Amino acid sequence: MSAEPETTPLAKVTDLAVNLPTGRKQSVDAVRHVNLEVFAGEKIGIIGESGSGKSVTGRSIAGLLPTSPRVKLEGSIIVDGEEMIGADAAAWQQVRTHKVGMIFQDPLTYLNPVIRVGRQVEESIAPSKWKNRDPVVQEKSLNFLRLAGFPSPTEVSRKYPHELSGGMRQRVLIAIAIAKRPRLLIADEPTTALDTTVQKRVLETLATTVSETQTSLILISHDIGVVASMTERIYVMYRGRVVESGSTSQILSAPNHPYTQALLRSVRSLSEPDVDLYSIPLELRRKLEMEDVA
Amino acid sequence: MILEAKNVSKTFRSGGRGGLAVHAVKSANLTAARGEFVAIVGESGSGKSTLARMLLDLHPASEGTIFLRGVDVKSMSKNQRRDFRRTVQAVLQDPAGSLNPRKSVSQSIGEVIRLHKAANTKRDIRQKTLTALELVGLDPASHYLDRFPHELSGGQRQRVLIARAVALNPQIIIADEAVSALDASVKAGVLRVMADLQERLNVGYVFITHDLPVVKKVADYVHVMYRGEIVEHGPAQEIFQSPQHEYTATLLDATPSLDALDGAAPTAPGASAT
Repeated sequence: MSAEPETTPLAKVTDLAVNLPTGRKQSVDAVRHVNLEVFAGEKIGIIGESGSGKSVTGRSIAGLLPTSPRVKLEGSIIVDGEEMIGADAAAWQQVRTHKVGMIFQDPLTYLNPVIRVGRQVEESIAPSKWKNRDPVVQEKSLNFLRLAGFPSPTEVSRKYPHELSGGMRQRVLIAIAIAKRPRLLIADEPTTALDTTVQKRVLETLATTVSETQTSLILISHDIGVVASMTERIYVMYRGRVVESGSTSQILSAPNHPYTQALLRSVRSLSEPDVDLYSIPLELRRKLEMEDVA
Repeated sequence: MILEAKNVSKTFRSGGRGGLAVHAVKSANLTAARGEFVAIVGESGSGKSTLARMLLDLHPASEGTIFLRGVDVKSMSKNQRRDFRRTVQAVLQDPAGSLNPRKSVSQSIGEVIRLHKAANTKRDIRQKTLTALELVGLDPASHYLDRFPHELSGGQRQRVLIARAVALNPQIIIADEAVSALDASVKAGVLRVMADLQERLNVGYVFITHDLPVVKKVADYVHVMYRGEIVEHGPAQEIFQSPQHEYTATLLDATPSLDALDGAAPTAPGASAT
């Protein structure tokens, strides 16, 4: 099912803690003591409700947290053998150029509205040659668009972002991210804003692209159905901590942590007939909070 | 039946007269009654929200008529219109956008109660507000009265909207993607509240969503919209067991499900690659 485990993971997060400012004198521990690792070619998922710290964890690995001095990171993030906590901006730039790519929920925000999408892929492949329209780069750009599920890439490459549907935009973003040939792709809620039918298409594209380019994947979502269909291992986050991790099938069939159990019960109650709708009871949340503080 | 749409169409034109016409809804028929859970499903751009807005008389229909208890909404008297605004309530997708950020929960809900004269004295209004908040499971209700929208979570805001809708004893609630943005657990909580109101107050729903498992779970009757047309409609069980239209089948097929995955290896294409 999964790749042969290698000795050193591609990315390894140890005891990560992130503190983010929320007001003039307030701050929140968004991520607390998170341990996570992803091996080359592996697909893992992070699930959790909103505010659980899953996006902050993902952004930390790509070095995309706000650069304010009030954002405090502790612990260790090792990407491809290099310690990235405390690394300077140039080192992060290197990581993002060659090793880690990221895609987000809202593709329109990350595309330039006044540049044709083909050129935006070219820019991702070779930023320096982009202005001169190198035919080799253009050809490569079309190949990446084809890989991202566009059967006639020439046509698409001439369009502006506003001329594309939401699902197409998201696939252009996948093409841009994969054009850098990253070793690791972090996808943060890539299909949350899309319809079910379009979602299926984008997920299939994502799965084939990362397999064909042998890229590792971290898929972040609150939708367990999406994560389960795409990944080999899952981390479950709650209140800034990883409360449980394990193989996807084990998490689904035999969850250990009470939060995971409640979460799965509530997800199942939404789709299975003859089961009463179940939401995670307040008592359980209070109990987990008490244990957390202790 | 209470609320009825008969052959309603909506055409939007860009650039004034003679501009490009978009047929958002094409002669749709739909009825909603008390105690009944009617769902409209379809992808984005299929016209389901436009249909909802016509049912609420927020967009006038280009063709066709909306009836409330047999009265055409276009030719209603002032009193009938006031009654229509009370009987048919809306809960829209974005709870933050439907609440005034500068009004507390008690002001937001109290305002509509006062305007519709559902209660007159300050004490009665407060009492009615509290009852509505308790109905939707915001308990203890007095804790929420003085909170502002930014002090509430997404699920709580959505419940405040439902509370504001039920405070007027409506007969139909039109919910446009009311639970789509919520986490599974909160979603289940809000849906339970809605089912509960259906049972206790005999409220009817027109529920618009692209979330099919939810529809399967709670709806009595389903309309499937595709490119502005209702391509299929019928009792929920029939639609889910034997979809007639090709599009309905595609829609059912695309829904990610946990059942297929239990205890099995990931089934995504290429999962075996190194």
